Amino acid sequence: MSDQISEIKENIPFWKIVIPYIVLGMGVVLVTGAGSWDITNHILNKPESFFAEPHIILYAGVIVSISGFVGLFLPIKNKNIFNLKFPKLFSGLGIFLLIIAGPLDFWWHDTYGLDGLLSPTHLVLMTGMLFTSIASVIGIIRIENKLKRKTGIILQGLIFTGVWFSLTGFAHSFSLPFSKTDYFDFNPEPTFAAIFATIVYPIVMAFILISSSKVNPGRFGYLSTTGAFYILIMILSALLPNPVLVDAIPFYLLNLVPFVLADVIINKSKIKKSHYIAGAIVGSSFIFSYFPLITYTYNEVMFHRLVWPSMIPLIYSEFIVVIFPLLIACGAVSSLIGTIIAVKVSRRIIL
Amino acid sequence: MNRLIFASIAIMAVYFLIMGIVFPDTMSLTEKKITSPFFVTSLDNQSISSGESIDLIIDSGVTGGDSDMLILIIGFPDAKSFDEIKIKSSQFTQSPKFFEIGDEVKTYYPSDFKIADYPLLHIFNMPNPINKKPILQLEIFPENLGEFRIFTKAKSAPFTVDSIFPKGGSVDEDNEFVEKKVIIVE
Repeated sequence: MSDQISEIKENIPFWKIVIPYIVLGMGVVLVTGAGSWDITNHILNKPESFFAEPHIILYAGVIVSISGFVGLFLPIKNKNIFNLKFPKLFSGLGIFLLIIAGPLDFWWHDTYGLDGLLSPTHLVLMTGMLFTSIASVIGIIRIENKLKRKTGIILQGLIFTGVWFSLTGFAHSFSLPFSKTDYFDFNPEPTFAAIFATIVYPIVMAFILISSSKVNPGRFGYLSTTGAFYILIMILSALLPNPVLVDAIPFYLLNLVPFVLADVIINKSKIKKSHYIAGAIVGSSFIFSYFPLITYTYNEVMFHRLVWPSMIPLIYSEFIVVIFPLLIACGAVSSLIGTIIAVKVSRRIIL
Repeated sequence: MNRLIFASIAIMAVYFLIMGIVFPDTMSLTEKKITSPFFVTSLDNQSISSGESIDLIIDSGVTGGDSDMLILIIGFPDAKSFDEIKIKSSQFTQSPKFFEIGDEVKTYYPSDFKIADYPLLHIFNMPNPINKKPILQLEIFPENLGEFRIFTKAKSAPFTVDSIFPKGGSVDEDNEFVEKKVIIVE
């Protein structure tokens, strides 16, 4: 019986079955990266049009994800052994939300003018991104584990970054003061926003990075690569477009240090429950990894100044020296929740 | 194992030191931009006959560096509505805001101008690099005979005491200096 299963596995074309899930996730990476760039353009107050560069990349990302989803239905023999019912269903739901988010957002713009970050239609889009990216990760990991083959550090790192940015989109929506428009004021209350950011960002970081490592037990590099892609996308979408932040890039690259260190501890050390230490390390760095947007959240509660794009470095430098020790400690503690979720979720994924 | 823990603590301590102290210290050296706006207004004529229109051209810009925003605030105390004013051409990138009499004035800058007493036009660039000198051309059709006043002021962001123009002249409802142009309608 086991010989038969092994034979079936050997005859299944690994790449043919896994590529649709990779394409599915790549689309979300494009959507989320473009979303991050779009936020930066809004901060810089650049004139907006339907065909602005970030929007085109975002639409392209949705098309890529849709094509990945279509690929999930390619006829492949013995596909049922992979337990892919859930990721398929979840990706279908995600794609549906991504598709309806477009016309809904158009209607919202038409009715209420320019929208803020937090709006019902943006929540639909973000939920679609999250579901699609999670489905992509689950699909890839299950196929890899069943066939005992790997897509590789680079591809998996990128796909995990899509989930990270999707979750970050939700966290941004409830912590950044970018949601006040002529019709609605969805801006979060400043104290709530600061507390929310302090708790949720480390949870998101620990959850994603520890998961990326836990689904590849004992393999160094997955966590670091996921972190490296996050840094790369942030540099491309949030720092480079704003001329005053270009000087921050060498420092921002240093955020790779906690990621690599966490990767070493979780995969190369023999410390029991090392994932908690690794989680605390990545969670404690949230205040630096979420630069520059986090400036807006803490400015609201500390200074309540008008943050012009050219003022971001100055305002950040004013509050960070005062509160960074406290935020490091809070980040390390909050990350415990993210790590616990990561451990549980990873077990479910690799089942 | 102990070595790894000690090494990790040392590495993270250095990381926090750089990111928490050196990085903000370097960022604090970022030059604070102090920009000043300017503009020059020109009218075809000082007086026109009733029923005629007149063009007002405003050449604007900033000095001191790239600005996050350049905004022209143009008030028409003798106009009843924007039926008397039309934008003929504009090199400003953002959509202009028209406040009719009685409208709530929503501004990007600190202002006491809460309700518009007269038609008010906000037209702006975000950002406005130092080499960008946007020109605005308005066509004005005064309805009533007599004086038709035009109040113009400019602001640049970030806002400082220097980021407003003009520095003298008439004063508007915001208690700020404006340049006053008068058209005589005969």
